[in-house]
Amino acid sequence: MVVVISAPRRRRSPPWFGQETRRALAAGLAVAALAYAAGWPYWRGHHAAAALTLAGTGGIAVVGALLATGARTRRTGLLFLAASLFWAVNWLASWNAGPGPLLSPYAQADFYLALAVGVLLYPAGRLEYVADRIWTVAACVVLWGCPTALWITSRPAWAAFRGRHVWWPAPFPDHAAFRAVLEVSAALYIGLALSFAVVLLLRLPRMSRMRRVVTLPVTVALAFVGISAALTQRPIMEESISLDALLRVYAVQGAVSALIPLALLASGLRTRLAELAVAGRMLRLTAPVSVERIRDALRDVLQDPTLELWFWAPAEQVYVDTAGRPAAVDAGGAAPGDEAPGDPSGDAGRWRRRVETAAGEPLAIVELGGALRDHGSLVEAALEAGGRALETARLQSNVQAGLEQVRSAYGRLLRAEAVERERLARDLHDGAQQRLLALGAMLGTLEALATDAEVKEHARKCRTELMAALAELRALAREVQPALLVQDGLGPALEVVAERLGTRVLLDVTAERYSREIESTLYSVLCEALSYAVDRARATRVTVRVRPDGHLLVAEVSDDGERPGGEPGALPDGLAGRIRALRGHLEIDGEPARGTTVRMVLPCE
Amino acid sequence: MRVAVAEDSGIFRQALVTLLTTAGIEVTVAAGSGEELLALVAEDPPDVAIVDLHMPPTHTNEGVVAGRALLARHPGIGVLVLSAYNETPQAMELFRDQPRRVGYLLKDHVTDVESLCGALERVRRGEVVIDPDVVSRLVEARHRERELSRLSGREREVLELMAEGHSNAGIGKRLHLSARTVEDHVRAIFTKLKITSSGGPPGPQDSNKRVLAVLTWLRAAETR
Repeated sequence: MVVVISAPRRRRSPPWFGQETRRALAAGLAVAALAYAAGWPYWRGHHAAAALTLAGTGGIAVVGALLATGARTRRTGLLFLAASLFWAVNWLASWNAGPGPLLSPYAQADFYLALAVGVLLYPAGRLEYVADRIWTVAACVVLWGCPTALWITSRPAWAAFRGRHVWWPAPFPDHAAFRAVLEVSAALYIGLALSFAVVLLLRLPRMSRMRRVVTLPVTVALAFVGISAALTQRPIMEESISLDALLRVYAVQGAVSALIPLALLASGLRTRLAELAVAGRMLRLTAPVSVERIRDALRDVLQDPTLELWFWAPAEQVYVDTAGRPAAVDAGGAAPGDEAPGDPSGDAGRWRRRVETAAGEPLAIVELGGALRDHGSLVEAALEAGGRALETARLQSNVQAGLEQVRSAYGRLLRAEAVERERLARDLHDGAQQRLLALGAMLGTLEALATDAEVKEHARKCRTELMAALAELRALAREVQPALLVQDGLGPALEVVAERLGTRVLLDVTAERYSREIESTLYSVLCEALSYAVDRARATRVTVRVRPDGHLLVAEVSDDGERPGGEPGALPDGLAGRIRALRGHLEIDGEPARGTTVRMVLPCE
Repeated sequence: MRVAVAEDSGIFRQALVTLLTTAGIEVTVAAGSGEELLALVAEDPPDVAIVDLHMPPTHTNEGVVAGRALLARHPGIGVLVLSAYNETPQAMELFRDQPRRVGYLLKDHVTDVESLCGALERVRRGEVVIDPDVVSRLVEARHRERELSRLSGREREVLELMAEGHSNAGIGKRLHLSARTVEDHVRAIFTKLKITSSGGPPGPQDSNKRVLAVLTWLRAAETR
């Protein structure tokens, strides 16, 4: 099952300010407002901390909302959005009353948990690796277990909350147990942060090069945020610290977390830059345009040597490959414009993309390696940049397909002609000639029998005339198709030609037999080249070589003659056309003064 | 003289038999293929067998194959191969290591009673006969070459008659020369063309071997 997705579309509005962006900005503002309300008692005295925290929290919410709109990053986005909410809720601690202080440790832990799992979910939308799953489970246990142990073993005052209306159950307050909980929690947090960095590092080698480039800044930022969180947490894991100290740590952690949206922004810029670079390189690599060049340019810029390209030939209603041959490419059941990323039923990870013209007509099909699925926008940028070249190349490939048809029609014509020539020559030889020869013998008999001298003389004259007519008939038959060519092949037939020409002709001709059209064509062409060399170039020595070379048949005529006026051509266009019709080609080298070699290369089975 | 004929074209075979009969030659067998001829003459071989070069099944060299088979089975038989085309490659096979009682005639000349009877007579006598048109085509093909251009006009005539299979006496008779003069010409030709023959310069006795030597020289492009 292949995935066919839409053609590159021309964007109608700036890509960064659509409905999704407006919604994301609204979400960011809402979360920032929530954080402002939650931390109100603290913000009154700490304006700089307020600005930093609100910007960071709102930024994470914006990024989360934006990511949530992409099909592949939906879960990551939702988790980031949740993380920003958790961070806002965390600031309820500053009220020093109600359920805020109790919720705050949970909100802080869930903030980090949501961020970390969100990153691990990118880009597959699920936890792909065992290490990721193990870490997630451990993080859930630690990050929910530690805050729970906190309120079970302490009074609120021990945990920095000295307000009178703090809602804090404290079922088993015990100083020693509380100190132990703080010690163990601090150690677990540091362990969690370090192991998260390791998990992130483990993911890197498994990513494709392109994906790694994009994810590296986010990975580094997150590892840094995690470790710094664990380290800044350490000083407040003490008994009876002040609420102000606790909230200052929260402010620092919030400020550091602002690194995450910044890193994502950097990744986005980097992706956009790569797209721009791809577009530029495509334009550079496809000039002057040719079918192969477009394919090679796409392979180059997308770093996928397995990339394949087929063009739509509207006249024939088929896709053709770069050589113009029709190819059985399944255009897929998916409708154009339908995008199905991450479809697990993909054909061994290969990814097919249909490309259409601006008018919505099919243009080409591109098949890419599955790893490029994560870089849809990059692929789109490359195809869009190559769009015009693709259309030109499509026209070119259509011409190629047309030429191919003409060539195979010409080939069929040549085959039919060879058969017809053979039949005609056989008729002339077996029918007309034998009949005329018999007539000659009868006239000879008459001549021998006749007693009248006048009759004898007439019979002799008739016979002489008849023989002249026979000679003409034979010359005609030889023109049509030399009997020897059909019977014995090229070698003996050329031997006779060489004898007739008279110049010293050296023949080195394979005894192999080939198809009618090959023998017939080569014979005509070699005769023409020979007679040109002898009659026009006045060669004194001509060498004819016909040798098989693998799947090719190579025929060469070399002579020591001179070409008047330096004219290199030794074959009329029609004969060169016949060689091409058999998918062969013709090479002529040599200098006017030093003789010439005409080489014909024909494919043969 | 008794003659057997193998010719696949019925109409020409019939005309040929009539012509031979008219000329006073007894035709013992008229076959349509080489195989048939071999079967029919097995009991009672004729003096000379006339075989068409191109016969079924392949129309390539059946005449030469049948001729060589006849010569091997019936010592003393003569073989005259007929061809409609003045093209040598397959017919020359007949003369390979067989310098006696063989001939190669174009069908055009068969219609002339005199040349037909002359060729038959010479083959029966044990000579080698090659159609004058075949020889002149061979000589013509080589006429631009240096060695051949060194021959005088008379020597050229002697060379052609030699190639047709004539003996020194035959050549002398045709050109009105003495046997001695012909022999001088022959020697000069062999020297100029650098034809070597085992046992010194060929004399009148081995005129048949001489034909082969001359033919070989004429046909071989790579001997020098």
